[in-house]
Amino acid sequence: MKFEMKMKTPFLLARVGVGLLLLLFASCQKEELPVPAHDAGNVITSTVNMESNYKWQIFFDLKTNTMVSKNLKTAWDIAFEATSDGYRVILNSSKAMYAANTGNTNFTVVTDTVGFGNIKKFDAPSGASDSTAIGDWRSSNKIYIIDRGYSETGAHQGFRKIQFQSVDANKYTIRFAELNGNGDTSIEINKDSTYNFTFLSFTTKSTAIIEPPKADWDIVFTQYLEALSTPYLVTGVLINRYGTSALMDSLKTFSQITYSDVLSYTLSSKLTAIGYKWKKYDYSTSTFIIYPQMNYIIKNSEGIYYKLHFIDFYDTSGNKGNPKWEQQQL
Amino acid sequence: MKQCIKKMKTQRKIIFIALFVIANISYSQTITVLAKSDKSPVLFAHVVFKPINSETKEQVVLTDTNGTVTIPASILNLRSQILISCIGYEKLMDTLILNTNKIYYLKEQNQVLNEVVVTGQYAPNSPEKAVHKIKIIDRKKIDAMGAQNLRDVLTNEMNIRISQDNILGSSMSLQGVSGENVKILIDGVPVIGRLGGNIDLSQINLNNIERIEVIEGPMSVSYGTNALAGTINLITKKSQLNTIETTINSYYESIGHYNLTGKVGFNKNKNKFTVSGGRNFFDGWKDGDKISFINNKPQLADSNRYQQWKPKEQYFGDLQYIRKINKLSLNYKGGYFYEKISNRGYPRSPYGETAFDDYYRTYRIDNAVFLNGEIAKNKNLNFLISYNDYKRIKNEYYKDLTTLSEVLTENQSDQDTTKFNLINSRATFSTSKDSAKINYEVGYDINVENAYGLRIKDKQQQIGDYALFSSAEYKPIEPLTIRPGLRYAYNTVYQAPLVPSLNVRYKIKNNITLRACYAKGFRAPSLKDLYFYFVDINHNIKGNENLKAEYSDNYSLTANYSKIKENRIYKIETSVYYNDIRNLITLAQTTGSEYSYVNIGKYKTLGIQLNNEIAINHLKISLGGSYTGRYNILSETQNVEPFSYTPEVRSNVMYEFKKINLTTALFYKYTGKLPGFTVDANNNISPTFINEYHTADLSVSKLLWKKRINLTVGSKNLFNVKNVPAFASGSGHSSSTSSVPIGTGRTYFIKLDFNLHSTK
Repeated sequence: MKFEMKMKTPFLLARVGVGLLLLLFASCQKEELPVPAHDAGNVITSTVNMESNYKWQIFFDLKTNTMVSKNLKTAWDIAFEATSDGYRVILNSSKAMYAANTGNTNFTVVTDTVGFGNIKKFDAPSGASDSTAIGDWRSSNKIYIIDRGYSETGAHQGFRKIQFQSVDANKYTIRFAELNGNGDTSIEINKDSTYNFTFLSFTTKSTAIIEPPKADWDIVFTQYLEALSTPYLVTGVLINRYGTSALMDSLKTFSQITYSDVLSYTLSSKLTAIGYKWKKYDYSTSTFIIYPQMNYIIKNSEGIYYKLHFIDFYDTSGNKGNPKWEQQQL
Repeated sequence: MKQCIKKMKTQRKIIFIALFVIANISYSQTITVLAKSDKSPVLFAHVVFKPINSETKEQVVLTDTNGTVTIPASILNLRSQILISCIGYEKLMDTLILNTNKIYYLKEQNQVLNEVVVTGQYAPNSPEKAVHKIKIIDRKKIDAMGAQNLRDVLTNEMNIRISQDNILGSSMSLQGVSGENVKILIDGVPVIGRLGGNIDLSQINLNNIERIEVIEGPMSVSYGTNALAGTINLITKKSQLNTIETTINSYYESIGHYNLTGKVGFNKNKNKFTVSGGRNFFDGWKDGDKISFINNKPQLADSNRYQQWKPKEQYFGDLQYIRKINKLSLNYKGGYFYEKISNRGYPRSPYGETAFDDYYRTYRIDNAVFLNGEIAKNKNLNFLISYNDYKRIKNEYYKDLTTLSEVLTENQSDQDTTKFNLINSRATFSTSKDSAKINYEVGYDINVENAYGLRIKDKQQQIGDYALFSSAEYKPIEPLTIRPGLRYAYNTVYQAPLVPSLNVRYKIKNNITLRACYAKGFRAPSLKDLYFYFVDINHNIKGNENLKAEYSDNYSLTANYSKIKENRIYKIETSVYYNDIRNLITLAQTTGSEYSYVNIGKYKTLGIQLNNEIAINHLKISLGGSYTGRYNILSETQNVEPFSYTPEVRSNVMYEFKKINLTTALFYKYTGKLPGFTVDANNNISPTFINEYHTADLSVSKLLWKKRINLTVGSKNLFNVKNVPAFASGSGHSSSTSSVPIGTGRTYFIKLDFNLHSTK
């Protein structure tokens, strides 16, 4: 018995040894096999690059499937309605800008931002014409303080005081300066009704072409201030306020939506009809997830209907700020 | 036999005298000492030969690995009194003329009586005599549970709740207080690497651990920061019987755990040298996984690539050298640990062609030198100096699943390195004379910690803590021990609190012991609390350099009753406690959009627990329950009750079939529903909860091949607990969830341990 044991022992040990080595070396994470790529069929896939700090505003035309223009969001501060009867002034919401009416008419007396925090307003994200921060300034000659907001790196761009002096069918007359009076500038802003707005930069103290002509684009990719529990800078899509409307449908799948559905939709002309909710930041994975089931129907200023849905927010290197979508004319 | 080995440490001086004696022996007649229960040899039993009516000197000899001593030549043929003793066994005395071979059988003492604790003690002490209530988790339990790491073994402890974050790991709460207030030590050296305040318990492997000592309540006088809710001290194995010992431990669990560790120890004269190392691998788990054994077939990169419990690979190695210098032991320990967690992301909607994959690599390097022992009779020195280094690197890749190519993402926070290191030195001088009215301890504790991270101000910060502490055990009358203690610290960053404690132990009768304790505990603000810096367009969070320590007042009362009658032991223990924690460090909105850490929170817990233990021969049963109340801070402003209560029940049953070397064990725990409240922005109060669950493990182990092989098979998580329903609504960044991960379902395990040794 004992002798047998001795004979068997080395074999037993050898076997167990091999088994244990298997345990040591053979257990490892499985290799992967590639999955097949999807077939896009006859839908058009497009993408734009706002960069991961969302510094670009990108104007896009669905009909030609092209980016019409792009600009750094810091290229302008405020914009002036360009229609002949227009008087409204909007803030560059992509920089989280605010404005407040000081109630004062003496330009040199306004020198600080005391109390600004309590009365400051931002433009309604919907673009409703009666809900701008500056409002109807025509009957008074009040001085406004403008908070220029932040650059894409989070640097505050300072304050300006501004007085809107007059507006007629062709131009605005305004005066602005830094709070200490430096850079005191009085200029005329010309209207051109082929555009929605004429844009002004406090940095260059001059107007700039930002938006393309209003009939040339449908949607703009930009950051904008949304009224969440506190005003929060979101990244999304605004529609052209010139004859454009849109609606979200998540009941049908993207492929199910056809031209015959169009009549049943009541499209909205809110600028945020597409908005930012087609993606969500997922804190558990620290990444954005996309909701491709949110389909958007867009009617452009020519009355042509499109459907689109987003399929990504990252480029091929995993950088965020790259909305990617599928679109099709209905 | 095992008990004997365990107690070796305290008996070393005698052993060395004895070894010296053996060297002079040339032949011949022997005495063999065997255990009465299973007739196995009793090793290192002390055999004292005392010749009667003779000038010949008394001789002490130790039994060898066969349980045998050779009768010293000087005593041969003399009528002598012989006394055989070994810890774990009852003493045996006989008088005879020594001239023949003789066998003695020693009767085992009951095991419960033979435990030793060191945490917070002046010298190794029995838990019965300690003024603190110290719970021991011994190797037997660790083995019977098939526990691989600290998380595994703590799942069966009362008053401890384990929670799982699949990236940060396993964390715990003790007495209802979160893990950042629990100090974890290995041989008295603090474990570092707290992420979000918690140490990942699954990174603490138990291969070299002999026992775990758990103290509930503050030990801040001795161990400083974090030791507020409790202290867990893991004691490594230091003794070895044979010249060369080799152990190989292998473990397989049906959800894909593959562990292999090995150890070689050399023990010669006054030197002992041990090398150990191993690899643990886990292939990940998600609900619906099937049992598999080494299946390395490549898989399609579809949704199956995502695992809820992440795949994990650990490599580790340890060195230990111990040298005896008189009654002191000089000990060097070095350790290396590497862990890689792979988080293959879920294929991204809608087409599943890309995914974000994260890899988390943790590196730990630990070095420590200890000098422990008696410097004079009943005067003890415990010195240690250690350097611990911790590094965690996160990398994120963006993977194209159609081509399997991947690129590192450019987002700065996706690639992150966190580093900590700690230089710790502590020393205590203590007296431990049993008959003295007063024994005392004085000591110092120095901790210099560095932290490095992307979101720490200036990327790097240092904090130094220099503490002196002292305590005394005063015995005005024999059954009463009063131990006051005090700690004073100078801290380089904040004003450290003065920490007092008072422990009282009173033995009413022979079998009833009362313990009362008041102690202050504290948690120093962490380097993150002090120096966090995260400012971007949507965030403005800054640490606060003016923070004070969180502190607590803890009151506890414990009563023990124990009755021992031959082979039966009955123990009952009940305790109540109350923790009142102030100055809790909380993230709060300070001005406008700025957030910072402030000392505004408060928290309380209270509880009662009851535990029974019965041992009859080889059957051991324990059954206990606890009721823990957690404070609802909302009760100060809202109409909710001040405390929410959670019950727990726990039971162990172990039976040893001594004759066939078979042990069976059952571990059960019921963890009750954890209720709470939350309030939303509109002041609506809603209840939150984590549902109750039951866990149970069952195992059978058998010693084979002359005890060289220990085979254990068992099943873990018999109640098949996976994700437990929970509701926690929140605002801002947190979101409501419908379940929390608790377990990975019912699993089966097999554990095969080899113990090979030779004596030269």
